[in-house]
Amino acid sequence: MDKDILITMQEDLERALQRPALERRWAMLLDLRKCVGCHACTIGCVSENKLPPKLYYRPVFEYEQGKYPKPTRTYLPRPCMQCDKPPCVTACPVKGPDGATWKETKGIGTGIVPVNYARCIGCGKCVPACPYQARTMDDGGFHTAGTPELQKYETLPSFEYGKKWPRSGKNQPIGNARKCHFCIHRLANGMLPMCITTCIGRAGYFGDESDSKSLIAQVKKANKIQILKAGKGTAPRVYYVANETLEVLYGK
Amino acid sequence: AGQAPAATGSMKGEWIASTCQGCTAWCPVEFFVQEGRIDKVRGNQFSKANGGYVCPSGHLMIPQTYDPDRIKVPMKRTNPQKGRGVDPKFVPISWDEALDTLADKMMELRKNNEPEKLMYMRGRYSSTSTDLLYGTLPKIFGTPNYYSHSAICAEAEKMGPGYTQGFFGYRDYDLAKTKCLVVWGCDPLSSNRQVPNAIAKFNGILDRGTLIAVDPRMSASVAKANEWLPIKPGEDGALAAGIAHVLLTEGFWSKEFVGDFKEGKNLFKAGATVDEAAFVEKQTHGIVKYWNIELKDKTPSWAAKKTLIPEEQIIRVARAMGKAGSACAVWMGPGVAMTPRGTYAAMAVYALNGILGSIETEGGVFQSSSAPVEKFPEIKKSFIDEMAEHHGHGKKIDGRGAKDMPAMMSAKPGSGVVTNNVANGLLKNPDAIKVFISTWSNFVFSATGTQRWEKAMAKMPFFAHMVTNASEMSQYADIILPATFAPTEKLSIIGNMANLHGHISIQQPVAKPLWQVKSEETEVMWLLAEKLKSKGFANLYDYYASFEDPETKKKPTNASEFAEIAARISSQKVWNGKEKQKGDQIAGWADFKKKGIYNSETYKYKKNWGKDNPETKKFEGKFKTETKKFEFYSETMKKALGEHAKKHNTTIDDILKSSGYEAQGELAFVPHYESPKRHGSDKEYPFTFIDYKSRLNREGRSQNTVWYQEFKKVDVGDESWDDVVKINPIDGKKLGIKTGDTVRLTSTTGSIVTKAKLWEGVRPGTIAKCYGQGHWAYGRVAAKDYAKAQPRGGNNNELLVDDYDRLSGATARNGGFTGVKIEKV
Repeated sequence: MDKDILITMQEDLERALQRPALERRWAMLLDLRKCVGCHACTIGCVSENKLPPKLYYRPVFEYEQGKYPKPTRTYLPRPCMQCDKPPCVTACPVKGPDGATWKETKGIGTGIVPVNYARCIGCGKCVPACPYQARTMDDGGFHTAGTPELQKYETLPSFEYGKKWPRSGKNQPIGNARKCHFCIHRLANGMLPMCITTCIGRAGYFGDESDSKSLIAQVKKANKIQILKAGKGTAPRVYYVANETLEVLYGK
Repeated sequence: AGQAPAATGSMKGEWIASTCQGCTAWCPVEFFVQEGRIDKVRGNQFSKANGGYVCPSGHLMIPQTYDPDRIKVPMKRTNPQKGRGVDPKFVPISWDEALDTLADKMMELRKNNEPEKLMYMRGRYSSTSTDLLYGTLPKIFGTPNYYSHSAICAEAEKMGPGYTQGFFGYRDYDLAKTKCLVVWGCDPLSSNRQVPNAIAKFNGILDRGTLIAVDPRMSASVAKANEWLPIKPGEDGALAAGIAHVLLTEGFWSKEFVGDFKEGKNLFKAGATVDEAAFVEKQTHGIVKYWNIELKDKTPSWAAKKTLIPEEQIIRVARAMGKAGSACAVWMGPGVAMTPRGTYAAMAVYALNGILGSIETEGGVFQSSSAPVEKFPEIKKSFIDEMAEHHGHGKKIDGRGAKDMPAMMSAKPGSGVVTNNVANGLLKNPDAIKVFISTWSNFVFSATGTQRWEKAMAKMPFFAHMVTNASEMSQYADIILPATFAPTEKLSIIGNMANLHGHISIQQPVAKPLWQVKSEETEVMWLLAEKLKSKGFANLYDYYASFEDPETKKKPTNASEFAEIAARISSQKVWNGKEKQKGDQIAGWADFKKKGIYNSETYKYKKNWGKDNPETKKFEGKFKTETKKFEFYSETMKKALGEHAKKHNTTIDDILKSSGYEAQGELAFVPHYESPKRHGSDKEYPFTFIDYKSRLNREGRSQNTVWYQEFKKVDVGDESWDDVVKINPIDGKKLGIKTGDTVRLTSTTGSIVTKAKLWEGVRPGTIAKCYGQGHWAYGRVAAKDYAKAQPRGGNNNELLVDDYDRLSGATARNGGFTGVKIEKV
């Protein structure tokens, strides 16, 4: 039997973590031919990042076309694109080296667009700026609000950006903009992003695409790659392989 | 497979192995526990069945464990009136009082010399410790009235492989090698016994060959399939016959498995009878009889008329199957079988595997694998007193074995459980049962014709219900006992198989339970046995107390020791080192608890194929049929029907007629087409209703979690926080109904109110709705208004009529047997 791609990607990851941060280029590739729309990634991500209601870092969009008896259905998982030219950063008013959101240039998260919850003023300007709707304001809700007690798994801290974020009162990230960060806290611990490890169909690839031996680099090379909303010039780091033309489904 | 170290973030935690029982896959899993709370789930990294993955429903085990609406302490009813919407006025009591009350009620039966008036019904159970309750209590106490839920699930499916191959069980598949997969009447990406394995392997099949899906609605599998055959509900037998006709006339049968014509020339010509002597069979019996009796006139054009699938598509699909040959697996599901005449459709669809010769071949279909489990000590005669012996073998109230209910599971007439008929038995004879105990069940919600269960339960003199949530059925309880949520709180051993491996896996408390919950099959039985002993009936206690630990030989002295010893007894073979196991190597109990799983060796190809014995020069078959061969002409069926007819002093034809089948004569012994039965006339109830299962259902128990509601849209065509009936836009236009309209659906048995959604994924004339929503109890999220018994959406089981595939005793739930009308509200 072939080696499970997760094992290969884990080996790729370990190799990548040995390399200098500036030489790495984290990227994600999603093969929509393999996605069966089970949403295990969405739910796994909610569980990993302890996300409140209506806030998904990794939704899966569905597109139905055609008429009976030939309808088709396409699934499109959408993490943050970690754009090299991120319009959300441009829109953020809290600028500077100690800003609220930026394109990271050092450390484990190099290349990712993080949010510094401590600096985010909750103005919400980044939300409409993202052409992928990858950012959402955290309104402080709980899934179990209105029941006799909040479930503890919702109030336990999440570990985004390598810190503990206990969820209570007006603690950050309540009131902040939130988004997918390729699970930096997991990468720091030598683990692949949660959506990749929960993908039962093995539709997701992750790794350092600058390493030509990595699986993601090889898959990217071997297939016709699409990016979402190429016309916006955002230079995403999330690539897609699909039978369909995605700009028809997702928009230009 | 390949996931990295356990630690996540900065807070310490550990992965603890257990087993999910949300569907019948019974996936070995691991829970991540931090500060005593469970906060993540994954597949067991050692599992060969799921490759270390859980499907989306696995994640719902966390909110299920911590559901604020769980039953937290035992309770008793203070309002004697019972009914839907009647407040039972439950008050909390101690475990001691609860079991004391139950034991008193049971002792009263024994005092009155009527122990048979005790009834036990199990819902979801542990495959090992069920023997301590289901397999023990009725025997020692003295009642024949114990019933499993199984016949409302998929039992009729077993009749397909059962009466052809002698295997009355669920099948496995070599999906890693399959070149053509035919998904028929099920949706392996959403349910059906090995969801993570199916999801992981689907893409490979698409790369290698063809994926064909037969389903009246667009399922998750259909969405990925190369060919969708949106069959008219209930016509599966016709499609199977049409495909078989093409396979034979075009010479696609397996020469290796089935055999060939002596002269090598194909004599299967449409309409022509073939001389049986012209064909020499190998592993099979009766291919020519099957052709002559059933298939010769079942041309694809005939099948096209019945199924509404274009003739050219039937031929194209049959050829794709034929080309893949023994690497084509036909994965048959309940949609084929759980219909009023389902046995024969199940046989017809399964027989395609026989024709293609894909039985136990590379890429083919397999019998189930298993891992070694040790049985509990035998229940010796000394534990069964005269009263138990005398009353324990009386007539069961589920009607099995009656002339019109052959229930011939495992080729034994009268042996199959007829779960859903218990309600009818109770209504017919209200004095039959005085004390009713049930665990992890909710028949008032989960069985078709639920209204009958509501009536029967309202009249039940004493009912003790042991579940996790105050379900619909619990509303009729006199005593409520809080059950452990099995995957996270119960200790037991679970066995299952997938991906050509059998396994046993542990189920254990992964974090300290928050409430006063106990395991129904072990701890509660021990405590109940103690109570019965204190009241003068010691046999149950004496049996349990005779157990001994496989290593220390220590006997149990309390409920938790009993539970642990039971788990150690069941699993000992894989870890005690006494016999070398062919699968995983486990170094003792602690290692087993940590790893959580033992995987068996890989299933060997052609394991049950027969061989010519060079000494006797005779063929020696290994299938467990009458002929030891794969029977296209089922001598096994002929014998079983003959026995049943003899018992009732009549003919086989009379049995078939009174059981509602169309076949007469020889046709009854071959897989064949029976026309679909339909409740409700086309005129009054113009739409055919189809029911299917949610990816997140967890057997109808997960609806009180917000994640279920939030992610409901993972079911193809469904909407989050809603319950929609899917109607083809053409029908919508005719009816003047738009997406979002509230509609009332009415069948001959009942009405439900739900939302309409116009959708291209269902054929005109057929409407589809997922089972799961419609709870009027279970908790604050599941019900729209729990206090007022207002359901969220509608329960399909209020529409579906209670009817049966009487040869198996299984409940009909598929095949479009219920007609409905749609009205805008």
